[in-house]
Amino acid sequence: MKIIKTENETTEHGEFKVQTQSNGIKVRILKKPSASYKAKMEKRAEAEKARQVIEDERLARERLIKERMRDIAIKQLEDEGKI
Amino acid sequence: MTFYNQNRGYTIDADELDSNWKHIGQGSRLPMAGTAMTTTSGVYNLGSDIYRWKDVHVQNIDMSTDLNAVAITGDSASVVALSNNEGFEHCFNLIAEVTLTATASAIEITGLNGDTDEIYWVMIKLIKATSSGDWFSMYINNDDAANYGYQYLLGENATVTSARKITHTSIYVGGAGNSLGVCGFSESFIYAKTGNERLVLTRMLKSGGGTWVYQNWNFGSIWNNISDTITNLKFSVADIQPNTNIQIWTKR
Repeated sequence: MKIIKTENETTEHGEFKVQTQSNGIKVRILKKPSASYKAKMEKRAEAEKARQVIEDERLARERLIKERMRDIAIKQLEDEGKI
Repeated sequence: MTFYNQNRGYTIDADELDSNWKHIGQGSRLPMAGTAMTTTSGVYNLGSDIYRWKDVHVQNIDMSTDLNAVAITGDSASVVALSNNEGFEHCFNLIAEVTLTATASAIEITGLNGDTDEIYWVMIKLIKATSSGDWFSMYINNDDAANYGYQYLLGENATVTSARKITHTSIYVGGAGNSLGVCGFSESFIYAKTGNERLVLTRMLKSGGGTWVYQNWNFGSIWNNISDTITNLKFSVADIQPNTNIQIWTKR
């Protein structure tokens, strides 16, 4: 599998470097996104960040619950003289 | 160069003899036959079963047909060459690879045929800038609508958690860019054939640096499209850094 051709291509999404491999498969690398593509990616990133904040809060709550349960279990075992 | 036939009684002069030498010796060493020493193809052997050349020292081998099933043995380890790729039809072969030399925003692999290939094995080494942990998303056939879902299992330090999302807009196939680690490494297996939903298994190390690993994720993801042949896979996140490497392997 070799790269047999490399060329530049510009579309509505931006400037691409396109590598054509010997097996017919092309690798298209978006080097310079267009303004509209950037705006779309930023919007997705914002939505993702908002989703991640909610997810992180949920994970933090679960971690806290598990740590507290662990502490309670350790204390109980210590009180019972088992550890 | 002309070849002058030398029969008994024929007087050959120096120019004709010189032409004969040059005809035989010109350019590539090609198999020749007949009174005019015309080039032949597929007629003569180099050596035989009994009389062999010792070693072959070449830069490349270009064969018009498959290598025959012959065991080649010697002082070093045996090498078995198989005709028609026998024994190799169930191996994964690398069909696409890219290593970035400059920053990029997306990498798209086109010219695929998910119905022929059936399974894709995608390996990603992701390098990101030190922004807070961005996900590396994969879009099948450029579908970025809410046609994906996932179930994950996450390990972070001593905490194990899991969750599900049923209306997602991509498949997470990597992640990096935590403030303490810029590297991520992942592998995904994609069941690519039409007829059912497409399923993706992913495991990833998300953000590592030095001796620190941020998170270990296992995803089961799904794309609800059952009829479109997979022809391209797009991988995207802002500011993908140089040395990011993506490999696509399949059963070919």
